Amino acid sequence: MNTTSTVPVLEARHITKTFRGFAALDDVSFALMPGEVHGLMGENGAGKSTLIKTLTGFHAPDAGELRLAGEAVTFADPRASQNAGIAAVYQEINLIPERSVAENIMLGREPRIGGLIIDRRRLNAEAADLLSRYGIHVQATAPLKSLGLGMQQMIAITRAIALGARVVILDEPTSALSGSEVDLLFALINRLRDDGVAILFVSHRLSECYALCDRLTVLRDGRHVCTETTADLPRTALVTAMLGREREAEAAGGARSEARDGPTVLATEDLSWRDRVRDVSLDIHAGEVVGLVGLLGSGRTETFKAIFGAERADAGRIMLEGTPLTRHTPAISIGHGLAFLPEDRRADGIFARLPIRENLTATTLGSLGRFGLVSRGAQRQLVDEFVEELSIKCSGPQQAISELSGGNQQKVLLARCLATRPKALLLDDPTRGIDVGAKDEVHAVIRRLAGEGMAVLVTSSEIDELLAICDRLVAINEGEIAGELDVAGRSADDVLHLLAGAAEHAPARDRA
Amino acid sequence: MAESVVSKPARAAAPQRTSREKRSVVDWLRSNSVYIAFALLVAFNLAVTPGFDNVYALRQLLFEAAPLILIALGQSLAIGTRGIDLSVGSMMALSSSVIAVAIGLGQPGAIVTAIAVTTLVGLFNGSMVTFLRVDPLISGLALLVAGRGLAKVLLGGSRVDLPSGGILGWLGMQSYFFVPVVAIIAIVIAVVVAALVRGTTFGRYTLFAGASRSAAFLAGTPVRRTLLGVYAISGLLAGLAGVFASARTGAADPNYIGVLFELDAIAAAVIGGNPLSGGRVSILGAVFGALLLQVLDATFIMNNIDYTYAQILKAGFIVAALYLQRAGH
Amino acid sequence: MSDTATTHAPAARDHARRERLVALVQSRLALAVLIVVTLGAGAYFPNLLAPTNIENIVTAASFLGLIVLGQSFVLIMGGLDLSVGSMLALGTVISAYTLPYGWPVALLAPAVAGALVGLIDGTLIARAKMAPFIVTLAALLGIHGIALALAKQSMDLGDAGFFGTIANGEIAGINNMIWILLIAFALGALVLNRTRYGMALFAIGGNEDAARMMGVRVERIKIATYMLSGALAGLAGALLAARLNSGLPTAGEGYELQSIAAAVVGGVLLTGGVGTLTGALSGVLLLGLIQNIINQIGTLSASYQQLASGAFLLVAVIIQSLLSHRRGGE
Repeated sequence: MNTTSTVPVLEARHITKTFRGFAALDDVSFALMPGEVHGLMGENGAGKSTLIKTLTGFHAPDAGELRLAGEAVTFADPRASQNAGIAAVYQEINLIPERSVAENIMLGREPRIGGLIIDRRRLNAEAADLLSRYGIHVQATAPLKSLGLGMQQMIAITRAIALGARVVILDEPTSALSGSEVDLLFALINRLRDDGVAILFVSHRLSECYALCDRLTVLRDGRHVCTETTADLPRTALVTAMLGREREAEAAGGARSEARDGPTVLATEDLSWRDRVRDVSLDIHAGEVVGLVGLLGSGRTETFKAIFGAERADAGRIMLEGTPLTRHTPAISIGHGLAFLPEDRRADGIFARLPIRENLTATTLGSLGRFGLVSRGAQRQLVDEFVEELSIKCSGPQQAISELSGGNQQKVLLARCLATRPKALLLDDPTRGIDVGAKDEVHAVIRRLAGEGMAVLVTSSEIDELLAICDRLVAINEGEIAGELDVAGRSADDVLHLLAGAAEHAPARDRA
Repeated sequence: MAESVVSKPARAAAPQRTSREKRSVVDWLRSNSVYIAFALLVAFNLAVTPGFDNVYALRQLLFEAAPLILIALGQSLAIGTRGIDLSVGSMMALSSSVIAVAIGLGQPGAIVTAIAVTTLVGLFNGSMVTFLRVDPLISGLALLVAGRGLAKVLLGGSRVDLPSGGILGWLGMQSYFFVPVVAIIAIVIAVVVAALVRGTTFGRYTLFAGASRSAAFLAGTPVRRTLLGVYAISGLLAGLAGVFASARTGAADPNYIGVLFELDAIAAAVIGGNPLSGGRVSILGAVFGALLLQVLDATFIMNNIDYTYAQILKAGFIVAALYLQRAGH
Repeated sequence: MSDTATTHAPAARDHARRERLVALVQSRLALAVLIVVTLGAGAYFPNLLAPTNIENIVTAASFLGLIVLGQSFVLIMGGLDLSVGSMLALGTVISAYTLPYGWPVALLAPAVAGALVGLIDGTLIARAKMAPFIVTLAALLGIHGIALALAKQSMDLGDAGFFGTIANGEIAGINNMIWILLIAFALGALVLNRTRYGMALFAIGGNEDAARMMGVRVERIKIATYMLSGALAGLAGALLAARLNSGLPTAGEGYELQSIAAAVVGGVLLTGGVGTLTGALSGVLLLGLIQNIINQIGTLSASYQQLASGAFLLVAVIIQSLLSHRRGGE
């Protein structure tokens, strides 16, 4: 760390932010020094995005204060934060794709002749000057959209710096970049650090954080876990800090090593999708719960989507009870006996305005009547059955799903999956954002289904959860299977080692 | 995710409860606004407008409301999928022209041909939306221009009289117990569409497609087929509305039939509780939305408000109504 | 790294070349079609390319042209203005009413009225976040009513004096309307491409949220642009009144859609963020030319004009959609 000053350029003190009684940030303190690259780590729901939104003026904290170069500040809106020298660059680039690089960098500050007519030559020259100062080799006149995503991010950073940003927040900048793009981005980040800019770097790729960051801060469940210099935080400790292990005692509850004895229900062979899923081979047997364990961004969600046909796999085979699934869509998968619970409940799961009844029977409508008619009676029966079976707390089948708690919404979606009587179940982080009681109920349901012979593939951000419900764990890292272990008799430490090892030994990404 | 919802700091319990009560009253008023507005307007007319309680006036009103009800139904489905169908007015004109051109087939043949043509155009509209992923607003706009152009070209740009008897005469003149046959048909179709929405898989799929495209896709909803069906139905109903309008006028008149009806249809649907953001369909609301607009027109006419001022007032009313609906979502 | 750079380079260059080709097709297609149609039709209809006929075509198209100029600004910003046709009609009527107060009033009052309508439309769209097509469609209805309320039928201007000369006179042997059209488009191009306002228009149309984050005052610029579109439509009305020596409450019917058709045929994207004024002008002239050809054929009614613009719009929308999805990397 080449900090010369001891005053943090940006500091958050005891920040608390609550949404509907749920504390997204709970007394989080954190300081960013000039000239450092600071990694912000944490799993889903750790509070990273809430912290970033607080720093950039999207949210006002309920309690605590922000200090900019030692002075207390409040940001009324994102523009106020931007004017104060804090710039955020997101994966979804906030630039104008159809316009040139120079116009994007200079928008709002174009040099003008007589205060009116834009001087295009000077505009391009000044932009080219900035680009070359930061070692970015692109033509200033090229349309932004003709550049790769990584280059577009670097243009966004250049614009921020040209506007005088002293703090640059990079939110998962590398997750969609190719290897060579990452190298260029890192070179730019290092140059900015040398200029004394403070950089907050959010990434799920541990190797990148170790390569780049001076210090690391870990959040979990809205709380600050630790801030350490990178050298003092070995990978295993980092992964432990991110995933936590508070409920270790309950782990390995229902696991049975003999679960593998059943016939194979779902199998993939060398499944690949873009560069996010690479040659993934899995076997899931009847009555077996397999956990796909990996950090966010490891390719776990993409693997689920490729199996289910929500994304079309580029290569590989998927077999469901011996029937190959090729060029399949979700509708076809469901017809073959596959069910999928998506990770993002709000965006991909619920139909917010519709009642529980319609949400629950969405996948089974065709079989609930004849000639395209839907039998209300059959619908009602199905809903009653699952409300009872999964103890969904609601005022009745007519209640809008958006009025339920997260846990009950998730149970309705789980019921939607089960209503098709699937042979295999794909659960992408099934307990994300739901309360502890509902979590335990979901765990119990999964174990019971396995007991009845269902093949289940599940992923989660919590190791303890996977240990509690899975028979076997498969580690995935950067889209590749990195190891496997039977759960019986294992502890969270073993899994953490498996994961940390996977991250350690990750092959250097060469994505030609 | 919880992060995306910003909630205000918790207030004291008592004021919160009253504010919730107040909100539920506002919600009730808003979700029933179309019926309340309709009742108020009718009451106003009964009190103020001379001759409004006359059955002949009522019959005339229903004659004119029938086509609007039909296109408001199709519009409600399109809006339910978070789309829009701007071509309905032009499809009415196209249907009218096709009847005149195909009248040699006999009246039933001409009517069937006309409706088949607009259904096909609706299917084409749906194909642009689903397969080419053109914004429905834009594809509808293109068909609005092209459809009326085609309607005019078919008749050389002029009005053509239609035979006075037969089915067209029956549709244009006949009433039973003072209720025009077109109004009866429109209500029957409204009931059918309502049953379609409430009782069939197609109706559910329409709502799913509008509520969340990505959730619908992951739940195995046949989104493309549904969208094609919705725009085809909208085309079909607009074609029938064109038949009604031609029968009432006694002529195929591509310059006047259906002009600006797309605005009325959208207004009727949205005022009736079909939000432009999709995922909710209220057929009863759309019918009353159409009736409300029609009574509004009748109010202007029967109070001898000049047609030109009536247009200004109606424009203001539609903007105000849509503004208030928008505030609810 | 240098290895990857060299292996990636040809692909990237190919990509860039294809991008440029697509952009070229988009912005120059109308011009190319215009030239081909002109030459092709010129062979069949010898009168078509006579200088007086060409002057007639351009003069007749100039009123729609001024509207297309405003419409292009609105479309590039990602909006839509359906009220321009009836605003033109209202403009002619206002001119007829205000001519007694002198020609400058008759020329400017309609533009001011148009700007006022634009202020209302723009405020509802930008501040109340209502859908542009609903607001401007209702405005179409309302303005039409106002025009008819002011004048039941066409009003004769009588001896309009210099006001008539503005739209009928000639400079250097070319009709004033053509000069006005060319100057307006030249000024428009300067504003669009060489001012911060123009840059902001492209930014809003390209990515509204990003533009807001980049410090563009989105709401103000939206309102200003609807005002500009309304003012140009009003001005076009004033000039049409001067040209025809009358106020015409039913003029401009269908102009709202023709103006969109012309701009879109000229490569302005309905989704916003892309467009050139040379393209839009080519689109206007192409529609004018087709109208003239339809007149030359004689057996075809004027309705074919509307069918043609509708068909052109349809084809343009489909081509644009195919091009943009190709580029989307699908």
